[in-house]
Amino acid sequence: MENISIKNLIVDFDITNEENEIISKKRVIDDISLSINEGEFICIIGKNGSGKSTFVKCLNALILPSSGDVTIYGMNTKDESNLINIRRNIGMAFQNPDNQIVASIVEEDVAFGMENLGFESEEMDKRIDESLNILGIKDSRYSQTNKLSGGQKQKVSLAGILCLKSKILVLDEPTSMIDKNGRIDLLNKVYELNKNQKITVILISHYIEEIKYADRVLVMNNGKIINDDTPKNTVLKEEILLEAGIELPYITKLSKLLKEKGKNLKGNEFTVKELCQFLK
Amino acid sequence: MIRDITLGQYYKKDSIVHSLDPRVKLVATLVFLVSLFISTNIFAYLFATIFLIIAIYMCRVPFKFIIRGLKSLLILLLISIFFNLFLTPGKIVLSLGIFKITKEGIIIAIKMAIRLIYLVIGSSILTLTTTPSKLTDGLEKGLSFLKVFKVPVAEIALMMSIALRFIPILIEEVDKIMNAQMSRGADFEHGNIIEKAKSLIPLLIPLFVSAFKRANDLAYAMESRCYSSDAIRTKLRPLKYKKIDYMTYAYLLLYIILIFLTRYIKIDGIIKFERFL
Ligand SMILES: Nc1ncnc2c1ncn2[C@@H]1O[C@H](COP(=O)(O)OP(=O)(O)O)[C@@H](O)[C@H]1O
Ligand SMILES: [Mg+2]
Repeated sequence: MENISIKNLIVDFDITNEENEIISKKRVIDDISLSINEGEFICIIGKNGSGKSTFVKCLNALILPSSGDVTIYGMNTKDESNLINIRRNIGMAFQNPDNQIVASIVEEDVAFGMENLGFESEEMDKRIDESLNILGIKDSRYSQTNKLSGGQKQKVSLAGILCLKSKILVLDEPTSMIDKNGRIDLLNKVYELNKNQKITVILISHYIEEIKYADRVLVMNNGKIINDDTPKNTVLKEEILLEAGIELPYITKLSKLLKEKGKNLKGNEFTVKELCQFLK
Repeated sequence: MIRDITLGQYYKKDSIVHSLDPRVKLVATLVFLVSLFISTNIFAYLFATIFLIIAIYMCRVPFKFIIRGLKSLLILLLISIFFNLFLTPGKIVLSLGIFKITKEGIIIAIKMAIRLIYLVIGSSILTLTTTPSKLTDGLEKGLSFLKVFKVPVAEIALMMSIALRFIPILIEEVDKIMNAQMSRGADFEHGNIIEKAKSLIPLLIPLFVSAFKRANDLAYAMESRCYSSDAIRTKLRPLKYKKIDYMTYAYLLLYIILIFLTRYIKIDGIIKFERFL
């Protein structure tokens, strides 16, 4: 079932001079049409400034289209009366966990979204428990948020989103400020949520290795989507990746080299496991 | 270096005072401060002392933590004692060259010292036994009547709690920027006041830029989590008076009545504070 539908989305930012007069417009999203189905895991890659963050901010009406339509479960983001319902359905986590945690204590921060929606205390308590449990940070419930590690902080912001039971999870480079172990841990949790609870996941990443979790990889360049394919097919499209300024995963490079040397490989492997299987 | 500053001096402990509703504690502190300034004779000070001793005993915070706040007040205290002692005109008790100590001077100096010390101890007990977020909650709920006058109480409280949350982050940031600028040869420690103020510019500008970026990010994050200022928000832990809170209010009422009554104690045979000196 389709839950996100985007038609001819264009976003222009106004470029203003010192007197706040608009002197020109900058096209940041350039005619994107796309549909995303329930339960899909989408990964968006692209270099800095290619419009990835702007694109996902259009999904929950943080940014409104200059033209075109974004529809979430049939609700258009342009219609102000849909605002809360759209945001309830899309949980969004951003890059820097420090800049999205509102409260000093973990449980208070997790509750923030529910407080905004007028939940009762008992319900909040139950859901905080659940979501901290899913992410495995139950012990930190009463900890101070600024004493946690980067990975834990990012999990706290995720817990705050999960407890709203959003059906769509948007993660804008959630792992760029945390170390490798924290990264793998967090993404594995997200992957489980996607598989177990059929939550649609849209992950923006600047680590190309992370596309291995995805069903579909979108490559963005200059506000356009220049690739929409499976991870396996994506790593084979060298010209497109080159155009978008993305380097191949280390393992894929290795497998390509081995293939040239006559090994029986496809040249699109990107996990160590896959490579090992072929080398056996 | 800067990171060592601790904000809010909450001392975790399971005590009756800790468990009181923050509104009660705010009112109690206010009542106590007022009582200090309407006290005129020794009985009032006696009651205030008993009140304070009970509070110190019940909050179960080690005494040395409670009086820690006095350290920073020491100089102010000495200055005020000095001026009151030597510069109050009146009946001279002792004269040391140009300095003359008067009877009135001694009385005022003692009163001032007691008031200042009690004031600091009283408010220390409040901050030691109440977390900053509870305090903001208490203020929000306690001042909610101001909503009638279109004061955005809830928004102000949210702003306060967000500010509290970002203080450690910004302190860390100052530290980082300072180190970065010092490694480029910036000098924050030497020079006169004007030079020092000038040397803060390369610190403040990056700090402001980053604070605005953080504010922008936070606004997006809050909106994504369905924040809107017109919606009615609920609380995870709504403040609710318990029996002990009502009892404390009753004791407070009793206390303030006693303090007022001391103004009428003028029995012969009981030495009045002034005559005692
Ligand atoms: N509020 C804004 N006003 C003007 N230009 C902006 C604004 N936000 C982003 N941009 C510009 O839009 C482009 C895309 O930014 P962004 O979506 O953040 O890219 P990405 O997330 O892929 O790095 C960038 O060139 C950026 O400078
Ligand atoms: Mg971005």
